[in-house]
Amino acid sequence: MTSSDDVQKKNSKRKSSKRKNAKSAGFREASRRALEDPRLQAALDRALRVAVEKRNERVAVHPDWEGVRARAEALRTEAVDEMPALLEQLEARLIENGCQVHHAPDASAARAIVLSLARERGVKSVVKAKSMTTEEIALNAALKDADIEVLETDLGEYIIQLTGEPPSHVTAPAIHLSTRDIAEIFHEHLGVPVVEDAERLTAIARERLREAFLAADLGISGANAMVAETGTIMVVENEGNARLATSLPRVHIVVAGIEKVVPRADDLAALLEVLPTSATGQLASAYVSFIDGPRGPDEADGPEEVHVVLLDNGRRAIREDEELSEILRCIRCGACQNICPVFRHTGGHAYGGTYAGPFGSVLEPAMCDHGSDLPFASSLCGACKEVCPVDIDLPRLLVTMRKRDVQQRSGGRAERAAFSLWRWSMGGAWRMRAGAAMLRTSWRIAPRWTARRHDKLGWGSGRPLPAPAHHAFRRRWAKGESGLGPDDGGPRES
Amino acid sequence: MTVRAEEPALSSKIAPIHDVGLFVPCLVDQYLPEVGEATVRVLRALGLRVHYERRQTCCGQPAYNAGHMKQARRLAGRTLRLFDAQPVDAIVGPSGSCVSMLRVHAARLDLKPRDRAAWASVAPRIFEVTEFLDLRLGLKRLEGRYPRCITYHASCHLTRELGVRDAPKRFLASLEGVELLPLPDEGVCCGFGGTFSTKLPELSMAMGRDKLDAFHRSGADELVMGDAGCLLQVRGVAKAAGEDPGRIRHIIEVFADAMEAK
Repeated sequence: MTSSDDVQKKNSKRKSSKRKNAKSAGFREASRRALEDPRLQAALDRALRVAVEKRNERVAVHPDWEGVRARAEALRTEAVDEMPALLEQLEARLIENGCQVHHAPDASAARAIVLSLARERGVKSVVKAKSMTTEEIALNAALKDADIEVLETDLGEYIIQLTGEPPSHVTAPAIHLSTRDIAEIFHEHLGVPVVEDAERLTAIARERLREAFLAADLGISGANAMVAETGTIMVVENEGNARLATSLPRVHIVVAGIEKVVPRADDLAALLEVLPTSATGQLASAYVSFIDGPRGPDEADGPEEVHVVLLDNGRRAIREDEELSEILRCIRCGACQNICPVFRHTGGHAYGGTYAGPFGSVLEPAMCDHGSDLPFASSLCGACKEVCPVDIDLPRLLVTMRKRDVQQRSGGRAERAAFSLWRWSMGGAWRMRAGAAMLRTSWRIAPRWTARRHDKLGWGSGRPLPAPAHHAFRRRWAKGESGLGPDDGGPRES
Repeated sequence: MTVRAEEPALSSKIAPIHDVGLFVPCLVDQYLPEVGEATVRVLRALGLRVHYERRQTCCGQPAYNAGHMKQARRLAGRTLRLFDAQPVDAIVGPSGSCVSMLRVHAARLDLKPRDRAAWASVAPRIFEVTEFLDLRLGLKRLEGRYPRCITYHASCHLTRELGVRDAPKRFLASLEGVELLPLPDEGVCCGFGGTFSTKLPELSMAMGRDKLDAFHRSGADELVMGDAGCLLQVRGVAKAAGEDPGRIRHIIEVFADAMEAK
């Protein structure tokens, strides 16, 4: 490597660490704003508490939850392990079924494929089923720029499309909004009177969506699973909008991450047992669609063309990363978001990207190259791991991401130095006693200054660290205070 | 809870036990020495000889949680070697997260061979204190008197990583005169999370306040828990809210007081 290469490498490292550090201010600041918003706090608590209760009720009456969870984990692990062969098989079956298959190495390629398909067919209007993958590739903005009208048809997505917000939860995009909020949004954007009634609001949306379904040239959806054995696309939903969006328009485009592939049709049974329970506490979703290609010669319904865009966008790289590859098992159920005590207070927008909550805190920095502070947005309580239907060890993945952040961050010098010093002071009992003595002296002779130092560390108002106890345990033992000290007649202290 | 290959099965309670080594986490040593004392009182009351390795300092968990693996490795390794050298049947500590660090997480640290050997020797016989009473001593109840109305917070690492769920409440409920009320959102994190409390202090405080609110809703007079980090966090939040932190107690202190009241 020449010296100019060295300099270039150093410069780009510094630049990227500046970018990362600038983004690092992101989550804490966003979480502060979220905490100061009482309406948001109330909406999140109400909706997520119910989601967790329903999920727990369903799991409690399940005859063998751990068993079905183990099956789901096994099939998803197999899917990730055997991904290359399964994708080949999937593609062959899709083509046999009459679908057209496109490969998108990244987001920009995926957008280009969809736009080109749309333009070639003179598409003027699109109806979309809910798809986080299309959020990931920022598809809607690209369609809009190409003067193609896009309408989100999932009720939650429809609402936030009106306000221009991104989804704040992986299955419930408008979870951050109360019924009152939605009534006000409809009043402002649709000109209807403020009607704080969920059924009436839904009816208003349904009227507008009906017309759009019938008029659209193109329907775009994601996929909950793609079966390699049969070339079947499975879409799971509760509103019926995905069913309409994928069957009424002439053309249907599926945009799906490659990790959505599963080996066999039988595997769908295990997925359909764990997904609705984990996502919404339902025994089954209202609609499950199995798409086996475009309209057949003797069929009355269905699109004339079905295109499947297989999106990589960093997934293959994660698959090769032994420490992280299990994140690809994720079936996007949102159970981890529902249970997470941090997400409960912040909602999804605070995470600043496509994916939020525990699984998002791994995916965003690992796959989307964004959100280097997100792995730290967790107290590592482990509730997410407990509810994950495919048994992803999220706390472990978060710690792995933290480890890598420490290794790669050039701006973390102060913290590294602090931990080195701390480790040194803990490296021996006399050093620890000396450090502790300094801390006690500091509290004694300069209590207000010491309290301010703690405050600066985030440990304000004596939480969680007050002044240390007058005599540490080790001192009490050594001095024989309160009956402490070696037992008489026992073996000598080591 | 799936048991992974690296988690050692805990020693059965077949072998009799006389000598235990104390694991006094750094937070207990410096901030909650009375918790260490109470641990000694309880173990001695049960007829055990208690040894304290005075060179112990810290298990390395703060560094591990913050991603500083080199530092975590050295401290965990040192602590494991010190404990392994003790002539004791088991090591017992009054904090679930610290025991979990040495038993579960240390295995993931790429330890040096002699530290790894120490882990293999220590991990099957290091316990959180209620776990010790339950699994290693085989106790079903405690002989003690505690005529108070209490509720129990289920600490994250103790519950989810060590799998200690029922024993603490069973022991508390067995005390004479006690009224054990359920805590709403019993298993929800208190918000300490180690370095989480410094990196995201507003969230940490909000989660701590949720725990305090749940305590109020329970109707109990005392909130009891089995982790040093949780204790400091919730007491700190109580103090900041102008409440008496003394109503928030460590479970081993409750056991010690109860056993001595009989």
